[in-house]
Parts: sequence; structure tokens; C-alpha cells
Amino acid sequence: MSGFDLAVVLGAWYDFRDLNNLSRLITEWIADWGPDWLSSIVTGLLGSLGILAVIGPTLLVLIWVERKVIARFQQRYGPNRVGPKGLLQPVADAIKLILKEQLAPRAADKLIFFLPPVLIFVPGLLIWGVLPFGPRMSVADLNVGVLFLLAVSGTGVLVLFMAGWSSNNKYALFGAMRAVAMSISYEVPMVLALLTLVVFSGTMSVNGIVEWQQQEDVIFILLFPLSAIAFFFAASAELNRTPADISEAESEIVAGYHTEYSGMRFGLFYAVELGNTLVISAFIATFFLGGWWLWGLDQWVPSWIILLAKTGAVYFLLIWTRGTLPRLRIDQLMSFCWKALVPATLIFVAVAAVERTLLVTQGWDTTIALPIMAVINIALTLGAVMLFARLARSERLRRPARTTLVRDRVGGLAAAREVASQAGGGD
Amino acid sequence: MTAQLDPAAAAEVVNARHENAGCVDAGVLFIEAAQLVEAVEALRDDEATDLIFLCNLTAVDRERHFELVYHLQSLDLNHILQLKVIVTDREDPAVPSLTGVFHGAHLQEREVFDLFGIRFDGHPDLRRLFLWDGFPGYPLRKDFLQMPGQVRAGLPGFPHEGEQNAWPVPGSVPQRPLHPNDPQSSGIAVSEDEPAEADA
Amino acid sequence: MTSADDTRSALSGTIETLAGDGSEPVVVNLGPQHPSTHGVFRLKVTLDGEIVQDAEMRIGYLHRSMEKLAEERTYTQNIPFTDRIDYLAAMSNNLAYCLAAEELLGVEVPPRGQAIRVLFAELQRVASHAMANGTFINDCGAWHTPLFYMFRDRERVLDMFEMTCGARLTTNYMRIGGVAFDLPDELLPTLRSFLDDMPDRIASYEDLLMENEILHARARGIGVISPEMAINSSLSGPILRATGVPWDLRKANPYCGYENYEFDIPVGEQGDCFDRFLVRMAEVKQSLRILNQLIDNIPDGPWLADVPLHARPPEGEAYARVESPRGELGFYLVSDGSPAPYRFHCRPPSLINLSALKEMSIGGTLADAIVTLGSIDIVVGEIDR
Repeated sequence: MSGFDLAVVLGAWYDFRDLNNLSRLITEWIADWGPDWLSSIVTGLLGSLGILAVIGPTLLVLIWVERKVIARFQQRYGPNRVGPKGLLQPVADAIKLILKEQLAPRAADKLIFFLPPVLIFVPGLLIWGVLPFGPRMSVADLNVGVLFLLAVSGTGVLVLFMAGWSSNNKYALFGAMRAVAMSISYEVPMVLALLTLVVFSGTMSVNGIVEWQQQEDVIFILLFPLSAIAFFFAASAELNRTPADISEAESEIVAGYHTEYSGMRFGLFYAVELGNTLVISAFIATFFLGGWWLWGLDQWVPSWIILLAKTGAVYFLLIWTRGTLPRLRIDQLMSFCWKALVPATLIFVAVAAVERTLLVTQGWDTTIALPIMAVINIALTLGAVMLFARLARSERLRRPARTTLVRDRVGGLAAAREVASQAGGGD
Repeated sequence: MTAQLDPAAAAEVVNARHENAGCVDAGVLFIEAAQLVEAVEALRDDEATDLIFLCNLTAVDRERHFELVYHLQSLDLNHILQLKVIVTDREDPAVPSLTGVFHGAHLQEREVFDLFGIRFDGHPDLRRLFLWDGFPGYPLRKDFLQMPGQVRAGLPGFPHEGEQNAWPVPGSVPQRPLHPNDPQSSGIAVSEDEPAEADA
Repeated sequence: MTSADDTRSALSGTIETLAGDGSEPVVVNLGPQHPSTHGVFRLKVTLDGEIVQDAEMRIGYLHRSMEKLAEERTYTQNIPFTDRIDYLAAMSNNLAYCLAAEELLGVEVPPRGQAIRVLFAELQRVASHAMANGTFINDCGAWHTPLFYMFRDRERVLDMFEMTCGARLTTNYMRIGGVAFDLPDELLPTLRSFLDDMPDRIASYEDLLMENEILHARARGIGVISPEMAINSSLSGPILRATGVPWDLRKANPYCGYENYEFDIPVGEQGDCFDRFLVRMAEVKQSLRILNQLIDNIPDGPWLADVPLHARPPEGEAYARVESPRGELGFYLVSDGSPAPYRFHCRPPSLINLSALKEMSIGGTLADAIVTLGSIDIVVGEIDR
């Protein structure tokens, strides 16, 4: 190939099913005349720019979507003043936040106080790197992508702790402490849930997991539903979303670790939080719902649109839980993690290992073996959930809460005893 | 319908516990301040009166004396009793606290202390409830406006106009410049001999 | 001695420092500006980690010296003050004050006036309990959704208030001797459609909330108080009834003809936060029951007795109380024969229900303290007056 082949470019670059064509073309063209390192740098830059260009506008839309959906859950209209259907509301919010004064507490540790809103972007953006948008469409298709994902997402909590600690505010400190405690705890079921997939599919590459699902014609949520549930809940805890938003519990500690951040600094926290929600939804879709693959539909529809649709579904689920459920207390969250999620996911790692070994050693036909395993695993999941529901309710909670209607008796302690004995006898 | 407990019957219960602790005058049961706790305890524990619920605790300033008004309720027998305690000392009025008998008296006694300045001996945590520490005077007293250091009703008035009533009174409000450009006052914001032009 | 040592020695006088590891309890101010203190209310909690060791409340941020101001106004002029005492249940406050003034004056309220009073007092209870339950679930951490559901019903009640007296919150509707205006023509149809809709609404709220595992985990067994302690602490209203004591002034001391209506007193069993929530839900149903009996049986006739605006009651005193949504709301008025009350005292249920807050919250976590405070359903305007 000599130089910039216009025909090849025209023939392929507009093929929006695979956005990689353009970057591959440029890489090849650079490789023709330049050194190797230049082409990899240019590809990396191109990918990062692409992701940045996608995330920014997506976040703006997502803010609108989240507010609108939550509003609909709450019988409200949501933003509907700025722009058509209120679509420009996030822009107006951003402008307002940028124009607001940036306050810092006098006693704050200034340097550490200023860093977190910037630093928090680093893990938030790095995670996108291993997300496959299509068959060959990830910025870095690492063969240890799962490990990378877990490692990077684990560093985010350090930034939250910096923010909470340096604010010199007790609410912030409490929020930071809770964030650290919860993050450390929920990393474990998250890792174990992913370990099931890694063990079963035999690859640590994110794209490899998707390709395995494509190859075997099955999505992992059917094979390992409990891992999916555990990952979903652990992720929502890591993301600080209700019912696990204790590190920024509004009714308890005002805003948690970002209590003291005002203006655009708060806006950055908010944006990253939304971005993380989006990327975690995307990873849930990738790991458990088949990612860019959908039973052959990806041949007809651009794969990244399929991924986007699945991500949207998971994201909607996250908004739904947020709009519906009250918040758990920190000790309840911790005991749920260590007493329920960790043992259950551990058991499923073992189950996955056994099933994988059987598949490999017995040489069973996967088209028959996988559905059977799926049925077994779904049954196991249901059993585990029911067992947990039975064990978790303490004696106190198992008694039904009820009110007794008293018609013709008014009085104090004597009447109370009488009513209680009648109500007790009536059962 | 909640019945009014006959004050005479209640007085008997009280007097059985302590001689001459209570007397009935014009249909109202009056209790000696010194015997208040005993009397109320007797009314609470006696099965015929059974006044286990302290509905209301307040005071009335009768100008010459203070009247403390207690409304006690029996839930099972469904009757209510009003009893009063007279405090004649206006300088340092004090009555025994009912907190040992009724836990619910805590806040109500603090409120009366705050607004009337009546001390409740034996209250574990007798501080002002609504107003801040150092507030001059006790607002619900009828002579509130004549109290030393008290705020005048209406507009604060002009400098030099009756200095003892001028606002703010030294000590009543922390003195500090309202704005960084304001000169730091030496304590009294108004009624300086030299008006503000001197600083300008 | 370092400053840390100073702090430690200062603390050791009041709170025992934790043994061994050199850690200290943290004092956290919840409020005066805090999302879940429902107004300017400050709760100073001492925390050992997340466990509440001590809770102390500081109030007075909304003190408007109503009792003093009322001494300089006539009995009729004082009615607007009562709106602002408990701004979430203005009708009940109007009613309690008017009952006290009527007792002083010896005024008989005409039957239509009484029926209208009951109507609005019960509507107010529906609105206030909707607010209380909504904010309670909010304090449990639900992201405003139940609150907005409950607001939807409260909104309809407030619309009816607006229809009748032009105001939504500070109604100033009751008068000494009856109510200010007759019912407008469109009120009863609106009320009827409201009463038709409400059972479904309540059923849907119960579907959403009653079996919610997280809500059970958060609210049951939290902020427990025994009936003996509740009575001794002068608690009243849903908090007292949640402990199992069937004490409702509408039954115990009927006013405005409550003895003519059929309704039950819902009582709880455990005396915890969830029981308070349940009792409020059940009370809304009972209020709707009263309204259903009332709506077709409002007698004709005058709605306001003939009372002069500058009424001069004879010397004497009166203590009248009603079962407001928050508990026993009493007004103690002393007259010296002049057109203004000599002493105007309000027995605020919100303030007195806080008597046992410390006992309820010690030993729980910070989150539990918030839930307990939410379940007490305070209105800061009433606490501080």
C-alpha cells in the first residue's frame, strides 16, 4: 500500500458498524512511513479522544434522562423549561455550576482538597479503555482486562477518602469512612462474581468473554444469575446509589464526602458519578448480557448500538432501584455483603469450576450441556435467595407488624394490656 | 367525656401523704410549693386518682405572684385535674422540679424557666430552651419591658434618646462590625457623644 | 500538654473516653440546617463510630414569641397566630384555640359549624399524616418517591382548603363560635371524588411500603419506647398509640360532636418507628371513614354563632385540647376580663413528644437516630412557637 489510499478510505471509513476502520487505516498509513511507536501513540490518542468525545455529550444527556425518569417515577414532570423538553437543562446547570463561587473551608487541607475533583476523573476515564464497543473496538484490548477493570475501579475510593478527609468536615469524614468501608467490602463479591465468568470462559480479556458468549450462543446472566445479581448489587454499592448510598446519605450526612465542594467541583463529582454509573452499566451489559453481541443481530445493526441499548436497560434498572428503595444502614449493608454475597459468590465460583472441568474433561456437547447447567444454576440461585430470605429475617422481623383497631375502649396502661391480650387471643 | 376530678378528693389524697400540703380554694387545688413533688407523686400513685399523665405545665404571671399550672390526666379513669402552685418571690422564684415524677416535665419546665425565670430545683439540666444564654429578662413576665437591659418595644429609637433603653444594650448582643468597612465600635453601637461624622 | 490532650481531658469530664486505643467520641451537629431535621432544629449527637452515645437537642431557632404577642391582641386577632404554630396542621390549631376561647366565653357552636369543623380537622389529619409518612420514608433513605406520592394526596386536600377559605397552609378558617365561611358549592363534589380515590391510593401505598424488606429492616425495632415510659414522658398522638395505648382525645374527650361518628383507634404493638408509621397509615383510613359518614350528613343552618369581634370573656381560665395529627394539642387561656387574653399558652405536642428522643436514640446508629426523629413527626414552628 503506498501512501494514503483514498479508495480504501472511502470504501471503509464510513462503515459505521465498525468505527475501528478509520483508526486502523491511519495506523497502517503511519506504519508505512513512520516508526512503530508513533502509530501506537496515534491510535491511543485517537481512541481516547473518541471516548472523551462520546462521554461528554452522553453525560449531559444522561443527567437529563436520569432526572426525567426519576421525575416520572415520582409523578412529576422533571426538567421541561430550558430547551425542547428540557433537554438543555444540564447545560444550564453546568453553566450555573461553573459561574458559582468555589468555596473551600478555611481549615481544609488545601492541596488535598483541590485534587480530588480532578483525580476522580482518572479511574472514571481509564475504565472505558477496556470496554469493547464491538468485535475489535476497544481502546486497549488487554488480555487481563478484567483485572485492569477491578484494579482501576478500586482506586477511585482513595480519591473519595482524600476528599472527605481534607474537607475538615464531620459529615465528609463520615461519608469518606463509609465509602472506604463499603468499597473494600464490596470489592470482594464483585471480584468473585467476575471470577465465575473468568473461570468458566477461561479468559480474562473483556472482549474474550463477549466472544465466548457469542461462540456458545448464551449470555452469562442465564448461566450464572447469582453472579449477575451479586455484581449488580455490589456495583450499585460501589457507585453509591440507593439502596446503598450510605456514603452520601442525604438524610443522614448531608452529602457525604463532597459536602464541602461547591460550584463546578461538586459538578465534577456529580459528572464522574454519572459516568461511572454509565460505564458500570456498560460492563454489566458486557459481562452478563452479551455486550455488543445479540444472537446475530450484530451483523445487521452496529455493535455499539446494541451495547448502548443493553447499557440503557441496565442503567434504567439502576435508576429504578434508586427511585424505589429506601436506604440500608451501614451495618446491614456490611452484613449483607459478608454474610450473603461473599459466601454465595464463592459457592458459585466453585460451581463454575466444577462445571468447566466437566465440560473440558468429559468433552460434552455444549449445546446440550450449557442449557442443563443453566437450569441447574438458576435453581441454585433461587434456592440461595430463598434460603437467604429465610435466614436473614431475624425473629423480630418475622413477626408481622400490624395495628389493632380499638373501638370502644379508651384508656392507659390497663386498656393497653386489655387490647394486647384480646389481639393476642384473636390470632 | 373527660371528667374533672373533684379537687376536694384530690386534696384528701395529697393531705394524706403530707399534712396541709394542699387546699382547695374556689374549686382549684393549690399545693404548697415545698410539698409539690410528694403531692404529685401521691396523686400519681394513688389508685383512685391515678394521674399518670402530665398534660400541661405552664405558669401565669399574676403580677404579685406567679401561678404554676399543672394539668394532670388519668388515662384509665379518664379524668383531669388542674392544680396550681403559688410562688410569691418575684426576685428568685423557685419550685421543686417534677422531673423525678414525670419524665415529660423536662422540656416544659425548661420552657417555663426560659420565659418566666422560675427556677425548678432538682431539674437535671435547667437551661434556657428557646432563648440564648445571656438574654436579658424573661419575656412572658408582665414587667418584661421594665426589666434591666431590656429591649424597648417598637423602634429602637435614636441616639441620645433615653440611653438606658437604647438598642442594643451592652452585653445583650455581641458587638462586632456588621461589615468589614465599618469601624469597630468600642462596645456600644449607639449613643456615642460624637456621631458617625467623626469617623468619616 | 498538647491541644489534643486538652480536648481529651475536657471531654473526659462529660463523656468517658474510649479505653485503650486513644479514640474519642465525635460530636456531630445535625442541624440547624440539615436535610432531615424538618426545619431549623439542631440535634447534637455524640458518636462512637456510628453509635449514638448521647443526643441533645437545641431548639429556639424559630421562636417567634407568639405567647407574648398574643397577650396584646384580641381573641379573634389571635387566630392567625395559631395557624403559624403548626403550619402543617393549621386547621387543628385553629380548632383547639377556638375551643378554648369558646369555653371562656361560653359560646355554643351551631351544628353546621361543628360538622364543618370536624370535616376540616379530619382533612387536615389526612394531609398532615401524608406529609409525616412521606418525610419519614424519606428519612429512611428513599429518594423522595413516597414523599411525592403522598404529596399528591396532600395537594388535593390543600386545594379543598383553598377552595373554602382561600389559603392553603395558614388557613385562618375557624372562628370563635364556628367557622368563617360556609362551604362553597364545589367543595362537596370535590371531597366526594377525593374520598372515592383515596382507598385505592392507600392500597397502592401499602403495596409499595408495607412489605418493603428494607423499610422493615430500617424501621422495625428502632426507637422503641415502652407504654409506661411513653406515658411518663407525656408523649401523645401516634407515638403513644404505637406503643399500644388506646388514647385518643376524640374518643376520650369528644369535642365538636366526634361522639356521633364511628371510628376506631388504631394502636400498634411494639412502639417502634414502623408502628408509628403503621398507626398513621391506619389513622388516615379512619379519618376517611369519618369523612364518609360526614359528607352526606352536614346539617343546614348557621355556621357561626353570634360572637362580637371584641368579645370580652369573664375572668377565668380554660384549657381545651384536641387530638391534632401530632398528639394532644392544648390551649390554656387565662382571661382578666379584657378583650385580650391575659395568658395564652399552647401545649405543643411536637415539643413534648421530643421528651424521649434522647432515650430512643441512644445506643442506635446515627441513621437510626434520624429515622427516630423522622418518626416523631416534628414541626419546628410548633416546637419553638
